[in-house]
Amino acid sequence: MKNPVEVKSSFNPLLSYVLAAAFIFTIGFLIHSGRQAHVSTSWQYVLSDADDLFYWSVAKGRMMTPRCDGNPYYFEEQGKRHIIPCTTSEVIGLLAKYSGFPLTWFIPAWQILMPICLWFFIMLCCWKLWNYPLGVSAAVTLILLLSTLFSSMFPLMFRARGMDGVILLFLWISLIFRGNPDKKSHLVAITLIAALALWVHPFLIGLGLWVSVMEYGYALLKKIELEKSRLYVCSLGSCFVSGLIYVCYAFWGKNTVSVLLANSDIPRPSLFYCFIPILYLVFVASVVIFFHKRLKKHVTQLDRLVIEWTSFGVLCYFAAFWMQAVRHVPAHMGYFFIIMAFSLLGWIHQKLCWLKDSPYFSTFNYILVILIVALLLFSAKTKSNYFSVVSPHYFVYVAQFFFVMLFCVLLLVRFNAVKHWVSQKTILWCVILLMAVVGYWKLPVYETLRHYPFDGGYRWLKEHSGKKDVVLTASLKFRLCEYLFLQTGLKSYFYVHGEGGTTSMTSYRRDFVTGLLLGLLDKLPGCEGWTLEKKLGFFKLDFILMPKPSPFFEAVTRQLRGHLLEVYQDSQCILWRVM
Amino acid sequence: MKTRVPIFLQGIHNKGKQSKHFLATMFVTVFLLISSSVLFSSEDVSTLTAQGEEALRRENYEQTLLIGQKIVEMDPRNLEGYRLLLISCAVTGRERGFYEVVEEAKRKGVPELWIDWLVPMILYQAGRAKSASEKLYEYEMKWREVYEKSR
Repeated sequence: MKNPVEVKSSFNPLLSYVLAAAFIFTIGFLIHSGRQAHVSTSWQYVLSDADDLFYWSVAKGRMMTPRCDGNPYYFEEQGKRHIIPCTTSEVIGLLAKYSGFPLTWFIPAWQILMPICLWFFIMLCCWKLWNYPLGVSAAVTLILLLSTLFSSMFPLMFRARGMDGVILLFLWISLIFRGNPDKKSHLVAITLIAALALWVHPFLIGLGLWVSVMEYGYALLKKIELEKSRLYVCSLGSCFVSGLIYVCYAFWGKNTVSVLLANSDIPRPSLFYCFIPILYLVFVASVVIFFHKRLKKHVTQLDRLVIEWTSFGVLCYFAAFWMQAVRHVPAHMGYFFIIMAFSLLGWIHQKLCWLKDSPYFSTFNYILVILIVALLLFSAKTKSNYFSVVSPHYFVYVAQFFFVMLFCVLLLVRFNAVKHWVSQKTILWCVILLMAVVGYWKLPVYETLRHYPFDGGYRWLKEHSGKKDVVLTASLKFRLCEYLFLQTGLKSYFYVHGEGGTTSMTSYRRDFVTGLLLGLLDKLPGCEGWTLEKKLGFFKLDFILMPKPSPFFEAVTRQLRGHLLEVYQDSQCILWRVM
Repeated sequence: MKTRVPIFLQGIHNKGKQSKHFLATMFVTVFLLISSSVLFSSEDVSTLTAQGEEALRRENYEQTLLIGQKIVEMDPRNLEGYRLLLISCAVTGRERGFYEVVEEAKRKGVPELWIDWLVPMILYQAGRAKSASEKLYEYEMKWREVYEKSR
């Protein structure tokens, strides 16, 4: 345990690291949002992802009366909450509501502060719980987080929904392995974190629970670290109680079902991809057995953690293969990447440090050279860059990161010159700054928002429409990135993230809009014999907004002749009131 | 030995008016043959199209498919032929065949935007509104791309 003098002396470096991280994430936000604003021609349309837009729409929905965070987009689904809680989003909505600050002010605050918090808590875990030096923890955490910007799978830094739960998951797992059961603060922390994680991001608790159960099982089996049982019991117990409360929440009151949960069209992952995590598991287990048998090293906590998350991957893939209900899980495994990447890096470092002093190190070097040559030959044959392979399968990306991390750690362990070079603070911070600038610059902008055409239309609607009016956007291009609700508070007639609700005819909106745009409204499925007035009035519809130019202009105006009154038009959009 | 010239080539051997008359007759005959074949083909396609429409009206989709195939064989860029093929594939649930026809049409030079517009129309009328919505989104994106390029 450190004495107070040490803690006091380490305060200043900590503050300087926090300020440096704040500077980097602010620069990153300005670069990325600036590029997005340039594309959409306005700073009002800078959210770079449909999930982000959903997150902020939920916050806006929570501000409304009646609350409509369940499905913020549809008029008919007001007063409902979402079956999967979006807690931080709701809290932001309530903060905006009661503080009187516009919700849009919270967007830059969140996008800058959340990465800082993520970095801070992970750094704190590495420093205080995993006992790595402060400087190393700060730098490595920053580098690893920034490295996710270079992968198409993990732009976590700008996914509002992902970041809130990752901090809790990291703390939870770190406390499971490194927590001190004699410290009350650790017991209280793990109890609160496990309970809170379920409410902040229910999807993420899967890994937390799995690791807790496996560790408890391991402790009972090996009859070691049994004094840590209190930590396991606290985490599992609080999660169980929290789960019971959640079940009450889910089955009591008006809830809506997420579009993701309602979507049954996610294809089954191929069996080939199910075997990739198995391959990982075999590889990791082989390495652990090799070190245990040949080098007489004990099985470490990092060994167990890497085996546990790899086996979790196997479980998820096979569950998705067999069960329709969890088919979306592999597609969202990127949320676990932070915990997996950090443990993998620590594991590789530990193994290479051990291997360096063993007679097997030269053999390992030969194997690595052969691997690199094989990789280069593979790249030359397939004419594709291994590191830019895009795949819907999570473990392909883990392989990419594994190889990069292995190579970087090997350079550090093998060559003292590299170690010396990296330990110079100026060089290190230059590298980090360069990574941040290039990484944020490289982040893809949301091309669909290019020259976002509805700015004038939204301004007119804000001034002239009723509070609960419904607007149909006569274009499918914006079906995933419509700012209507976030900017005006008005409801959409059809929006993909609004689908999956519990109304009797969930497909009616989609069929109506498709029929309208195709000019086939008279052939609306399931509505044979209905008059146009009946079709128009089935769901509330007050305005139709269309970008200019549009391939659907003729079809819409022809079919709704006599029902449309033009109320606004500029060079980019046209707005009709539906009579 | 006197060479025996076939009767239809005798004019070419004989110089003068007779041979000129023969050549003119040949050209006219060839012209008539070519034009009549074109006329015959055109008439046949339109007849087949009418038959296809009739088969569609009677909801005989197997026959519609056969007629569509015949039309496309005779005229690989015939839009009506592809329409009949797509309708019959969509209604009878030949998912793979449907998209093979789309690819075939594009390969044979049918305007891409035309076929991309036709696909959601047919899917919608075949009661597959969800797929139609997806295809209509793809059509709109392509349309905007073409429009932006042409500006």
